[in-house]
Amino acid sequence: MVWERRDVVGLLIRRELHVRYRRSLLGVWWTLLAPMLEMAVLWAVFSQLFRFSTDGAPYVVYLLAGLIIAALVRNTILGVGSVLGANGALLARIRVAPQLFALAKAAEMLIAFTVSLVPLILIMIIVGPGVSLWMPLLVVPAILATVFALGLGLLVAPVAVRFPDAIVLLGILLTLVIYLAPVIYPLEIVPTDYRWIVEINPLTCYVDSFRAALYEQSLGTPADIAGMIGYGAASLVAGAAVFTKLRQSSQIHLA
Amino acid sequence: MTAPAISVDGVGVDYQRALHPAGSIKELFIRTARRDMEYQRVWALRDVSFELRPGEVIGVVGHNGAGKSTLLSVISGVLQPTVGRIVVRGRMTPVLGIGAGLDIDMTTAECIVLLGSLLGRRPAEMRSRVIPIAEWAGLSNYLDSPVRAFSTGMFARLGFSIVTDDVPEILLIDEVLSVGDAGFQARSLKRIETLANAGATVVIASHDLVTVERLASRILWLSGGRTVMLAEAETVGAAYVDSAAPEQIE
Repeated sequence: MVWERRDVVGLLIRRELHVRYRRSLLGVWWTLLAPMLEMAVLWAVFSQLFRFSTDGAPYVVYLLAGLIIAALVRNTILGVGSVLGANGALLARIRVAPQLFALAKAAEMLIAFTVSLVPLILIMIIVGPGVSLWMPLLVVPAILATVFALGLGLLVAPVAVRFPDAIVLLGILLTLVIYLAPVIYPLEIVPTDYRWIVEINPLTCYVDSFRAALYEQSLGTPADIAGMIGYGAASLVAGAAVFTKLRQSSQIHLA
Repeated sequence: MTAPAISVDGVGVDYQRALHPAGSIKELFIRTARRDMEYQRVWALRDVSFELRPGEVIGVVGHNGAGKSTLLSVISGVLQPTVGRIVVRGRMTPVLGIGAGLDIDMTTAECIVLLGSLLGRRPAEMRSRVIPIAEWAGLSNYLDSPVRAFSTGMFARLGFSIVTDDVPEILLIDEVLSVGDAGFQARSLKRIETLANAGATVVIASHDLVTVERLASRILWLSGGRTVMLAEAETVGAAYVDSAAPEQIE
């Protein structure tokens, strides 16, 4: 049913992108400028304050890669989670699958992620380790991370439409999850006793695999690959089930 | 005898509603901890039954909160009834609410394509209908302007023009005609009549009895979610006016 209405998903993605970028003075260039400025700040701060040693790439590349994939997961969960409220006026009046809006939101986040790869790759060329022919492998962790986040977003959407502060609380929780994954620090600095916390964090396998695709010519360890598929499938199945089950009662809360 | 276009059989919609609904998780926690949450079943619609022949126009009247919008929502399939059964035969176009879902950051042309596509038409087809739809709404000069600056009346015209562009088999109309100027109302009524004469089945909900009486052959009067009366338009109209009179004096 979603496949039949893929043209509508396309329109919704274009609406999101259009509205998002038309408003800003710099237009599409803003999509490049904003992450580059953000990265410059993080680079300055983290390369002076912390100097973690990382294998395979300079710390700044390690850091930016981690932040970009973590932002994809975070923004997709929060964006998809808000989809019922954000489109309430439409969904309350027209009989249309809200899943279409969720898919469009996830696709929009994936496009924003793709744009933010441009400054990352530029930095990799400047400070090393350069680019490799294996980099297109990053499509795999990016798509699996989107699937994982889409599932979680669908799971929280019925809650968020009832309680608008759920998204704020979730944002705080996700910040914690990001700090409990090897995003800004390498796993090696975590004391052995506590490493299991980082290792069971679903975000870890997506971050590891994304970095591996960027500069290790692989998709990470077999455990990373199994984790990405396992967490992604579990999240999507659970999210779709809860979303569908609560669809009817969510409808009453729409504007 | 032909099969009814819409058959509504013993339909009820139940909102499980907290007596003092918690508006946030914070509030929910506090109130649950204090054991302060009480739930109540609220029937927005209860035991409503009727059948519509193809091409028939029915009016739904009642005060605010009588269940008019809920009834239209269950017919359109946006809400599922808690009890009862609804069968709709034909392609349906809902006109529920004014300017529904017209994103304020989009241009008129974009709104036409998106809303039409969400209603089930092909985007390519909608692109070819942009000019006629904008023309009918009197918004030809605003094709590339964001709808942000539109007045309520302009939203209503645009929304109505989009949903009635295609001849629907079933048209659901909720309060759209009470906004907009006299000229728009007259043209909208005419368009509804044209669609009805072309065979469309129409359900029109409003608290404006005059509009409903002019269009509908039968009227369903709802109060507190229940059917008060379902009969010929004049009969219900007269009774409705009588009942409304004392309240208006207050």
